Parts: sequence; structure tokens; C-alpha cells
Amino acid sequence: MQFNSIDFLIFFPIVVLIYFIIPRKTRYLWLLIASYYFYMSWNAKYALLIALSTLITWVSGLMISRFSSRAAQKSIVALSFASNLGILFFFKYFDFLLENVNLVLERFQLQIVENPFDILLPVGISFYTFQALSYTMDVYRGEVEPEKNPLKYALFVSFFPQLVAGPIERSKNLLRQVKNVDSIKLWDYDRIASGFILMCWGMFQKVVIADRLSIFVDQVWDNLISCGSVETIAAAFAFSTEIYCDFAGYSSIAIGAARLMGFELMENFNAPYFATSIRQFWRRWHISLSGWFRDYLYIPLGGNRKGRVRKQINVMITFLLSGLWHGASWTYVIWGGLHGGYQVVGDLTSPLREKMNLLFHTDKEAESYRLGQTIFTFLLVTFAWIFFRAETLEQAIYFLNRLFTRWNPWNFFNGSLYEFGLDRLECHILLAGLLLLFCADMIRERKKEDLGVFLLRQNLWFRWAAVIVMILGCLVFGVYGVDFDSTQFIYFNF
Amino acid sequence: MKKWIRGILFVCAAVLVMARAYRILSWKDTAGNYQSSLEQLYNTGNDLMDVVFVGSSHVYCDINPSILWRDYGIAGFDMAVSGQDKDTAWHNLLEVLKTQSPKVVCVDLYALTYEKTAIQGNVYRATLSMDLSFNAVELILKEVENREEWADYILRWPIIHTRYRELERYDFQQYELSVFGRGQTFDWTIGWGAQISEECLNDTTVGELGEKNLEWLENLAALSEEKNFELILFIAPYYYESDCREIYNAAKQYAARNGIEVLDFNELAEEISLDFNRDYIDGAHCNSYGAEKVTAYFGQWLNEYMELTDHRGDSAYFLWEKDLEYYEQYAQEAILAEAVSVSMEDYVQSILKGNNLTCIITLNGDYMAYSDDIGPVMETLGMNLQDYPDGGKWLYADGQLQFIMDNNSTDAFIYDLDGMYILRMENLSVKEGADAFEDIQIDETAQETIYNGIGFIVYNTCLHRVISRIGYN
Repeated sequence: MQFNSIDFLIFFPIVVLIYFIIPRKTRYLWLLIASYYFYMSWNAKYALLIALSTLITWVSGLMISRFSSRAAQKSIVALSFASNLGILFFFKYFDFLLENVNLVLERFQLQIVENPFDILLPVGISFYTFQALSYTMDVYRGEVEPEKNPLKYALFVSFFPQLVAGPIERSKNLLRQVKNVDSIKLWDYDRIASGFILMCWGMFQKVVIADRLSIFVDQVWDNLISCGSVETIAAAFAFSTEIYCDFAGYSSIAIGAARLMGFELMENFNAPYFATSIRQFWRRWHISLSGWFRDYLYIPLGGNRKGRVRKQINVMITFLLSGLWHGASWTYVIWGGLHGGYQVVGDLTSPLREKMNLLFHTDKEAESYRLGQTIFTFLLVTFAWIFFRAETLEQAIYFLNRLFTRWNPWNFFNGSLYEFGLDRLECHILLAGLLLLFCADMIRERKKEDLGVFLLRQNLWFRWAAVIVMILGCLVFGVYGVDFDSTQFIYFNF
Repeated sequence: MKKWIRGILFVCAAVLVMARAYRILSWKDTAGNYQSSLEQLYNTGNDLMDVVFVGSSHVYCDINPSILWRDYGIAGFDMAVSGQDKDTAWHNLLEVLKTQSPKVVCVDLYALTYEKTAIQGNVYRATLSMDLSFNAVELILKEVENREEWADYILRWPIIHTRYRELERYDFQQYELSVFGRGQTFDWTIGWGAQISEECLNDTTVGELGEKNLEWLENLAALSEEKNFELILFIAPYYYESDCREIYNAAKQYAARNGIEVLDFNELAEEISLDFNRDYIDGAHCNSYGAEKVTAYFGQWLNEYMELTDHRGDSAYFLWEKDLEYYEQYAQEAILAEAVSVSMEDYVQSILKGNNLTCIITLNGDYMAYSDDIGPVMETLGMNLQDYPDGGKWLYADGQLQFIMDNNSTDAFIYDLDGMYILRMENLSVKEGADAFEDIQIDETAQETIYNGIGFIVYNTCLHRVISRIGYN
């Protein structure tokens, strides 16, 4: 059940309505049932996996609190991590591993290993596994008390707004709210309105901007043979925007839906393309994941406390694993590696850049300097996205080949870009959407608040107009449903 | 509390905006020309229809309710949707019966010859025009094979929202309903009809009616009993072969057993003088010439065998009056088209006899060479023979000459044709060396005229469009 589906459009109001009217004590039970129903709408069987992850981490939490010996607690944490990551590895990376083992075996002309399993990746497994593991670690570190009520804990792991695509919540934040669900003041107009606005904005980002851009991006990637530099450059920038709107849109819907029900989820995106460095980009992009890697991998590895070389190694390990977390493919690993590499190179060349700035009397406080940094960061990120979007390494290399070897700037002006699924009208709609996106990110950047909160503070007429534009924009210009076109009627008159 | 009231007001405002947007985007078209029988039905007062014709394009092309009104004052209505299959016919009829109590329902049997429409466009036509109700949902469940699309069809937005790419003027304004008839289409295109072979027409083999067909006929018969209307079955005149003939024979046998009248217009083709070279658009559909003949026979038959009231003069039936007026306006187009092929004199006479016509006459190049006797003809349009040699552009409207623009004038002339469209005449060809075709524009669209000769552009102010354009050289 995707957020942008009719099913969710029916499911969500029903869940909210019942949640608002049932007795306080039963709220968490209702949300748990709704969350499992939501998850099972993809594949009922995989509910067993999430239940298993929940059980392991819940028991781990209780056992950690029972043992006073640090060694025993460590063993339990290790067991919890091993079993959860084992499940994740099997479902997500087994095929990838076997594929690579077979490549090596083939190279040495040895018998390849047949895959004995037909594995279908369970939706959201990477998200809920990391969320559940964070709980084990937080209990171990004494940052949260172990949850006694298994059903409340199960709700923390499976809370449907953020179950399949984040934000990856921390027990310090979400579990505390789940524990106190019966004391949430539900009928809070401002909170409900702000949650609703955020959901509308998320939906707008997803169905009007991201899904429209994906038409162009997919057409270019599917027809690389006929594309040159102009088309591939356009597709690269388009994909940067598409993935941002897709993911940030989904997060906004999740945060808005949770807020509507009285839960405040953590921020996941903070105008990432306004970042002036790659390091800053990762403090603004998929914040819940980068925070997870920082707290549970980078810092335990030593972070920047063990010397400069070790720091760079830690950065590379963190980003390579972050790439692998996104998908079982070398393209993701390269994508992660590029981001790690950018930071390592940035760090190593920092003294040189400082000298250059002194030499050329560069004013680092000037707007133009920051703008230059922002543009440069965006270009680096966009370049890395090429590997993220490519289905194979060969395809990524082919794309890069087209990007740098077929330069024909006339294609920017001769209308040939309109031949990739978005005609002039569609491009105008897209531009209007991008303008709104820019405004929303400017608000985020300058006012430090999300659109839901910002609009609530505006005059009524402006607020109403903005929300109606968002709703109408989604309903009319959203990419969904049957692609209806009267001209498709070959038997038009009769 | 104030906040909650504001919230409720916001919901109301949003709903109003969305309702308006839905109205603009909604599917209004059953035949590519904004004709929708259901739209007409919903805008017709309760219990006004006497006779309802149910069927596909065979019905909206072949049966013209204007004729029934003109000749007998019968309030007829075509409940027709392109490619209407049995399920659509059934649910369309149920929709009619929600607000109407017709005395006679005439059902075209063409739907017996196929199960489902094979064209996606026809599924849209059948399912998107009907107001949302249990009846509409039932139709959707039957018509849409892919279960996953049911919600899309019921909600409609997922289907119609992409119409933003193809919106036209009529999507934004409430058009006069009667412009689009009482469910029929007006089309004087002359194509070639194909006559059914004698052998096929004389074939008496009774084929298998089939379970679904039988159930459909039985349901119709039961409905006629329940709702107290006379059920008439008919076969519109079109080309078919013996496999269909056998099904029709089986249906006739069923009808005979149950005392239901069947009118087969293929068998009646000779009696009503259907001309296969003139009365058809194609092998399956009559044009308006043919529809006049088929409907005249139907009217005569209904008048003879059914007790129907003559409603002419009753103000409640204004939609039928307007419909007839529009039919006559449309007919002028055909009259002018026919006159063209005779002579310019005949053409001008037709303009003079017509109503709601505005005519732009262009005298360009060596137009004087056309004929020495043209003067008296042009005088009938109010032209002064002394001005005639000067050439130019002449505007004839409301029975008199309104304006003359000579070919050297550099001023533009703007004229409000009908409150909807503007005529602009300007000698751009003289001023800017532009193409002479740009000289006359209606609604900013250049009107093609003749470079060298006498040109006529005839605009109908009731239909809001150019209905004839001809050049004599």
C-alpha cells in the first residue's frame, strides 16, 4: 500500500477516525493492528519477519537490563545484531553475494553455485531492522529503559507512517511517544492542520514533481543509445531532483501522517541541495540514516578520535556500508564510495584550499562564495547519483561515456528534450512545481521550520490558497491513474 | 472552537473548488463532439419523454428525435452511447427510468451480435458519463474487466484528471444543451452504404440466441411489465452478414412468442426509399438524410399504433422546440453544400432564405471575369452595382449589407458576430504583404478565401461557426 495509492486514501482516514474515537487505553493496540495490516498489504508472509525482528530485539532489551555484567550485555547485543543483520543479509544480500562468488568461480573456471532460494526482498526490511537495532543499542548504552509491554514495543518497530521508508526512528524519540500514546491530546487543531499540510506537500512532491521527472529520466536511461551530452546532463539533474522529491515527499507524508495522530517523528530532510559541502549535505539528506550510521557505526569505529588517517578510513567504511545499505549492487557501493571519497579528498585538500583563498583574497562570507559552494556540492552529488540510478555498472559507464563524448548544445534549444516523454505543457507544469519546491526549501532554510508549521502562521487566505493549490495540483497534475487521452480512441466518432 | 469552524469552512471551500475542477475535467463526450445522451438526460425535466430509443451509434445516427417532434409532437430521446453493449444498454435504460416514465422504449438489437465493446474509448464513454450511483457502480463492475481499475472508474479522478492536456472552450462554460440535440448527432456526410444481399435478407435460419442474449431480452420484457412501457425491438439499417441474420431471426422468434413488435429497417429499406449512395455515412450508419427517412417511418408507426400526446406548444417541452430549431440550423449547412454544386445563383438564394447567417463576400483579383450576369445576383445581397467593380470585402448580415471594405483600405474592421466570436477584416496582404488568407479572421483563426474570384464565407450565429466556404473563379 503506497502512500500515493487509493488504498491508502481509504485506509488512512479510517485508521485516524477510529483512533480518535476509541478509548485511550486501546489506541496503541489499534495502531499496531493498522500497522500490521498496512505492512501485510504488500506481502502477508513477511509480517512474520518483522514480528521475529521485534521479538528478538524486545527480548534482547529485557535481557540486557537483567544482566549487570557488561560482557553478558555485550554478548546479547552481539546476538541481537547478528540475528537481525543475518536476516537482513539473507533477504537483501544473499543473491548479490552468490552472484559475486560465482563470478570469481567462473574466473577460475570452477563450478558455479546454484541459488537454492527464490528470495523476494521484504518491503522496508532495511528500515525496520535498523530501527529495532537502535533500540538494542540504546538499552545497552542505558539511554532508554527496556520496554516491558511487547505490543507497545511492536508498535514502535512497525509504526505504519514510517515503516517502509523511514525516517528510521530512535527509541529515545518514538518509543517514548508510543509509551505515552494514551495521554496524547488528539483534538489539537494546529497540530492536525500542520500534519495535513505536510502530507499534502509530500504528496505534491511525489506525484507532481518526482513522478513527472521520472518519465523523462526513465526515457533517457532507456534510450541511452540515442542520447548525447545534453540529454544525459538534463537526465542527471532531473534524477537529482526526482530522488529528492520522491524520498523527501515520502518522508513528509510520513511525518505529516504521524503528526496528525499526535506523534512527532524526527526530521529526515533539511533543504539538502542548499548544502555548501558534502559533509553538510549528509547532515541534511536522509538525516535519520546518516545519524544512525554516525551513532552506531562511525563513532564506535573511533570516529575522528583516533587520528587523521583512521578518521578517513572510518569515513570510507561508513559510506561504503551506507551505499550497500541502499541496495545490493556495486553501483550503490560506488555511490557510497564517491561520497566517502568526496569527504576524504575535501578534508585532505582543505589546507590547500585555505591557501588559495588567502592568495586570491576570497571573501568566504560573500553570498557568491556560498552560492559557488552550493553549486559545486550539488554537481558532486548529481554526479554520484548517476551510479545510484544505473541498474548495472556497465550502464553507468555507458551513461558517463555519453555524458562526455557527445556534446551538441543546440539540443538545449531545438526542442529535442521534449521528445523524452514531457512535452512543452508538461515541462511548464514541472517548472511551476519546481518553483514551489524552491520556495518550500527556502522557507526551510531561512525560517528553520517545515511547511506545515510555516503555513499555519500565515494569513488565512494565503494558507487556504496554498493548501488548495497543493491538493488541486496533486489531483489534476499528479502522475497517477489511467493515462487517459481522447486521441487514443481509434474509433473516435462511433 | 473558532479554529474548528474555520477548518470546516476550509473543507467546504476545497470541496467547491474541486467540484468546479471536476466539472471542467469531466468526460463530456460520447462522439468526439461534446454530445452526451446522459448529459442531456440529466438536464431534462422529469417525466417528459414519451419514447426512448436505446442503442449504440446506430441509434444516435439513424434516429432523429427532431423529426418526431416536428411531425407529431412526440417527445423522443436517444439514450445512445457509442458501442453500447447489452450491459450498458440495460443500465442506461435504468438510468432513464429513474426520472422518466416513457410510454414506449425502442431497443436496438445490434447489441445481440457482440458481447463486449472491444474499444477502450467506448468503456470510458459508457462508464464516465453516468452520475455516480449504485446503477453506475454496477455498470462499472460489469464493464471494467480489470478489478484493480474499479476504484479508478468509481472515483473517476484517476481517469479524467489527465484531460488537462486536451481542454477546450466547452469544458469551461455551460453550453446550451439543445445545441447537442436530444441524444442524436447531426451529420450530412455522404459516404457509401452497402446493401445486404437478398440471400442474407431472405435467410430464415434461426440461430442460437445464447444465454446472455436471452437473459437480456427477458430482463427487458420483465422491465417493460414492471415499469409499464411498451417494448419495441428494432434493427437499424446497416450492413451485416448471415451470422448476424441468424441471431436476429432468433430474436424475432423470441419476440413473436412474447408479443413484442420488431421493426427491421433492413427489410424496410426499399419501402422507406433508403438510398445507399446518399443516405449513409458508411456501411453501418445513416447520415441525417437517412435518419430523416428512418425516423419518419418510426414516427408514422408510433403515431398509428401508440397513443402518444402531441406536446407541441407545451412550454415544458422547450428542449424539444430548441432541438428542432438547431436541427434546422444544421440543415442549412447541407442545403448550402448542395446549392454549391448547382450554381452561384442557387447558393446566394440559399443564403437569402436561411436565417441566423452572416456572410462575408470577398471580391479579389480578376473576379469580374467570373460572369457578366453576376450583377443582379449580387444586388440581392444588397450590393450596389456601381461599387461592385471596386472589389473588396462585403459583410452581409441580418438581411442587409452591413459594411464594405475596399481592397486598398488600411484600417481594420472588427465585428461582433454573435456575442461569442469576433470577426476581424483587415487588408494585411496590402499592408504587410501577408498571405491573403490572413485577411479575414474569426476568433483569431484565419479564414481561407479565394485569391482570384468571388468568395463566400457563411457563418451561422446560432451554431457559432462557419458552415460554408466557397470560391467562384
